[in-house]
Amino acid sequence: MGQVKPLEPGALYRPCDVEQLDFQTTDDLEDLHDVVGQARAVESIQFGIGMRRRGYNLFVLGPPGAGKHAVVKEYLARKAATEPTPPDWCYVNNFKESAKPTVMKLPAGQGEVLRKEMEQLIEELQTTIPAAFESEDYRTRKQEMEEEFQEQHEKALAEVQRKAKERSIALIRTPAGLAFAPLKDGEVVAPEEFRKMTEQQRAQVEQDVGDLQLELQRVARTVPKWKRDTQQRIKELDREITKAAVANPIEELKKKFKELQVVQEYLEAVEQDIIDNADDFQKEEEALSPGIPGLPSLRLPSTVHFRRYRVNLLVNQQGVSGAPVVYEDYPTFSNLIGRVEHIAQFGALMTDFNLIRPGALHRANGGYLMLDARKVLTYPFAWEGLKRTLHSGFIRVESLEQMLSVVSTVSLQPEPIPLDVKIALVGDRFLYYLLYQLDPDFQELFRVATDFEDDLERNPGNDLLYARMIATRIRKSGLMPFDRQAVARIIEHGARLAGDAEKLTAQVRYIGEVIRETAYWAKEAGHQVATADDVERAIQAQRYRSGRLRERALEMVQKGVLLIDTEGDKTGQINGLSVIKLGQFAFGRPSRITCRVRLGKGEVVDIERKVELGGPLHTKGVLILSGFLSAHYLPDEPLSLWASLVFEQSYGGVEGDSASAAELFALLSAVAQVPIKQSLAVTGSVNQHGEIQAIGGVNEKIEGFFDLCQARGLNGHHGVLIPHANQQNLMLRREVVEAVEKGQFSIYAIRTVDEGMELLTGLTAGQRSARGRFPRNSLNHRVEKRLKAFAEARKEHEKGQKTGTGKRKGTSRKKKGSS
Amino acid sequence: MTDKIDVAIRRILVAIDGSNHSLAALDAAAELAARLHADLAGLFVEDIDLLRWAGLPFARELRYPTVSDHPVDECAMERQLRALASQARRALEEAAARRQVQCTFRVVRGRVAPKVLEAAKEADLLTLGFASRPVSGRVKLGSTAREAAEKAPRSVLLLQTGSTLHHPVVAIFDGYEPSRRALKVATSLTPAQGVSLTVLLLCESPARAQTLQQEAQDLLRLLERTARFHLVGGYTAQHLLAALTSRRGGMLIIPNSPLLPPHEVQRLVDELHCPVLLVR
Repeated sequence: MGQVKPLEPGALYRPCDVEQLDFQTTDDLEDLHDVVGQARAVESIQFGIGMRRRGYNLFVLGPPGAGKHAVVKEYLARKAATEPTPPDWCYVNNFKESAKPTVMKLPAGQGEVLRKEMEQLIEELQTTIPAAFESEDYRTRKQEMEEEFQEQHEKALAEVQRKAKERSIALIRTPAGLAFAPLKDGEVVAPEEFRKMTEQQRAQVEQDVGDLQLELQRVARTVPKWKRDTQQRIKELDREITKAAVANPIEELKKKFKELQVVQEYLEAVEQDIIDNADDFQKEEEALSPGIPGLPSLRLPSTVHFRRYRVNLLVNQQGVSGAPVVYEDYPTFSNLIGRVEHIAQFGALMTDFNLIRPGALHRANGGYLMLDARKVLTYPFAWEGLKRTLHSGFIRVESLEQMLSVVSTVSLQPEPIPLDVKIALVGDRFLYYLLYQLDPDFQELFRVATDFEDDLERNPGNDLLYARMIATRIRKSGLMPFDRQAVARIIEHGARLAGDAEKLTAQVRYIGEVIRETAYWAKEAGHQVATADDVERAIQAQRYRSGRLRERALEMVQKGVLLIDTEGDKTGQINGLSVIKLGQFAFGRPSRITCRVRLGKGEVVDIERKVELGGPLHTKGVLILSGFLSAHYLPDEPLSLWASLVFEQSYGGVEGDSASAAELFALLSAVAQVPIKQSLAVTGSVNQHGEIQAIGGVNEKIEGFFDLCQARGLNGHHGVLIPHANQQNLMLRREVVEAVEKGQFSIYAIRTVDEGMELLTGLTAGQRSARGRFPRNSLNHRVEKRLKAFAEARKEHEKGQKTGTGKRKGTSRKKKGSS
Repeated sequence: MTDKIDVAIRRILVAIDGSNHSLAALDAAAELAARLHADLAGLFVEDIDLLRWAGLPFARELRYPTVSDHPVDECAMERQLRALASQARRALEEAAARRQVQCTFRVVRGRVAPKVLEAAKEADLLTLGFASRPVSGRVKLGSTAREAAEKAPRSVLLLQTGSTLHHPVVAIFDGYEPSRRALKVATSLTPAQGVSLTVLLLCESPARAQTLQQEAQDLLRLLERTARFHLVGGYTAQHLLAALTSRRGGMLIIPNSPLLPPHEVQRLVDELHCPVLLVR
């Protein structure tokens, strides 16, 4: 078996074939209205939109930056434009129970018409009603009634007075009321004169006064009734006058809305209420409270009375065509469900139906509402409120305080509005699966999962679509055109972002960033058309801007603070590779992995695990390599070694199994006592059969080791061993590819542990012969030989132990015997 | 000339019986006193008729608005009158203090109208309410006011609750001397700015009206004032009421005119709801 050959430079980077891009600049490309490579998601959106049944709301999940919002909005808008415009919704006063405002559904556009008409009506009535009451006719009739009452009153009094006068008695006014006094010569009889009268005269006077007093009492008692009757008649007159003034304008309004029964009923209620409250139209302004000394008196403008005839147009569809698509970026409870506001009036909070404010659900009713799942879940009670509304099928405007029953003050209970809306929740996959698992309502309410792909197939067709997507973004952002080399470079970057030479990233946000930054650099360079160099510059600049930690790590290695050998051979020591991800930027970093072995009971100690720095996947990797070791070598003998594995100078956690191959190589080197070339680094995981398996972040890992070797000086021996399966992921930086081309750096794709060991040690691994032996001096032979030696030593040791114990027993017996 | 008239009203007598109308009269009197730098003299008359009546063994009063019947005796009536008098004094003192005018207060016992007329002799202007406490809702000139209006030797100002001296002043002018005086009083009672003056020309023919207007204008020019003029067109209360476009607000100044019979003046005053100044 020959050694694995290094990969050809062509396998390290799959360039985009510029020839297949048949345009000169992006100006030649048509706009792309559809999303690239999201057929599944698009079909799911279309299904979700088309399925007009309750519970078929969408949850749009996928990686960040995949353009979920834009795509969903675009499709929703397209569909909404073809749908009928939903009705207007208004709240009007409930004249029977003002705390429960009535809702009115009107054909689109009619709400605004009604609102204006009502404003006009009130304005008109404010002049016509007072005018009617100012009319000569009304004033005369009212005065007549009042006069009649006064006359009635005066006549009755005059009658009493007349009777009194006949008996020489006067009706006099006392400070507190009325009284009768006998007169003599026009003056009240003095007490002494009264006493001088005969008994008969006195009795007569007393009798007369008593009779008159009774008469007066009778009159006085009847007066309030006359007054009430008069007031009632005046009120009837007022109603009659108001009715005459109101009837015409209301009738005209009714004609305008003759097809709308709900408006007819409302107008009838308004008419009745105006007639019942005609006084309001006559008052200019009304004092709210008796003046507080030192303060100007508190007065309410007359318009306050007319608020109840207004129309609170909650949803106005005037001039709108198609169904609404609403995106609520601040989905708090009240921004979703609506709220009842209050106004402070002289220290008290007041509200009425005019202060009901719509929420996003009102605005989207009859159409579509887009929300961010994370935000809905973050704002208190927003999720609960949304679910309850979707469940009930009605929007019930309710304050949080009411919902939680923490206040019991009287507030409004607006009539609920029937809900017909399709919700599109946009969020992470993590949230979707979490909700699916933990919230039973979620499954019922969001039955359509729209899953966006992370990447798309890289083929000539998709490359061209990608180019059109790039062109569209350039035009939408008003940027300079890009030439086709630049587009090709962006496509290549798309593959690099996907971490796969055969894929393109679907996270178009990052492509957008590169496009904008390229335009910036091109402008800086004075280019009219952005070129591939500008793209390269933008990518490099991005890398440089986020490269502080990477450079720091490299510097530590260079200065010998972190010990990494890139030359020579060492037994039980290997360069592993790890990836550090900071936000969107990731970089690779070599780590020294060492292994020490000695006689033991077949235990491989993972030091990271012991100190709880190793994650479960890492531990799993170590257990797998132990499994390989014990089964691959001397399967019939007990594994008699003790080995310890460690990531040197690792002070953070280690997770993942991508170092398990490197750990196995270090272990085999330690067991076989064969040194490993330090000019090589390894990444890959291993299974129990010794096969090397794919890992993630292969490009970053290679580049991490390359950067270190390059800094120290490439000598042609440097290289990285990667799993064979990761070959397709290679989209390496230009300088790595160039170094490979010059033979300064090598990348090996290995399939098995044996292939790796051969490259690392320069020895042949060796296959078992028909007799089950490895060829002498082969690497595997050395491993097995050492393990056998351990096993024998262990047997010996255990035998010795047993003998030792016997001797001790014997001695004991001897002692016993001697005793 | 205006100064001369200002000097003429140095003492204003206001009759206070504690009723709301009399309190309105007090307020107007105090304001005039302040405007004209006059003294304010308050008068409360303990009605001898009431005291006599209260002394009768069967004296009972029917109280309003409870319509309840209560016996009354002399002591109780004395107490009630004393209480009313002290109320009147307090009201006077407060009004005077508010307007920063000098005031005196007197309580006399006797029949109300004669006592008021007697006291009026010492004053230049008598101010009193339209009525004391009217029984029916309609306010008519009370007996005391009526007697004062007829017999007072001095000018009389009659006021009702809710009316003030602000708003336009309307004076009746017939060309005779009393009406010339009335016009002078009108200008002296109104500040130069802000309150407009309307003159009702009491005559039947437009030709006479023109002459009257010319006379009035000549007089007003001397007083450095302007006015608007209206023709009354007759000598009855009806004619005058028709000429007064608004019956509420403002103040009507009525001279002792030979053209206006007293009963017509009385009818006019009964129908009006504004302050009335009868100029003697």
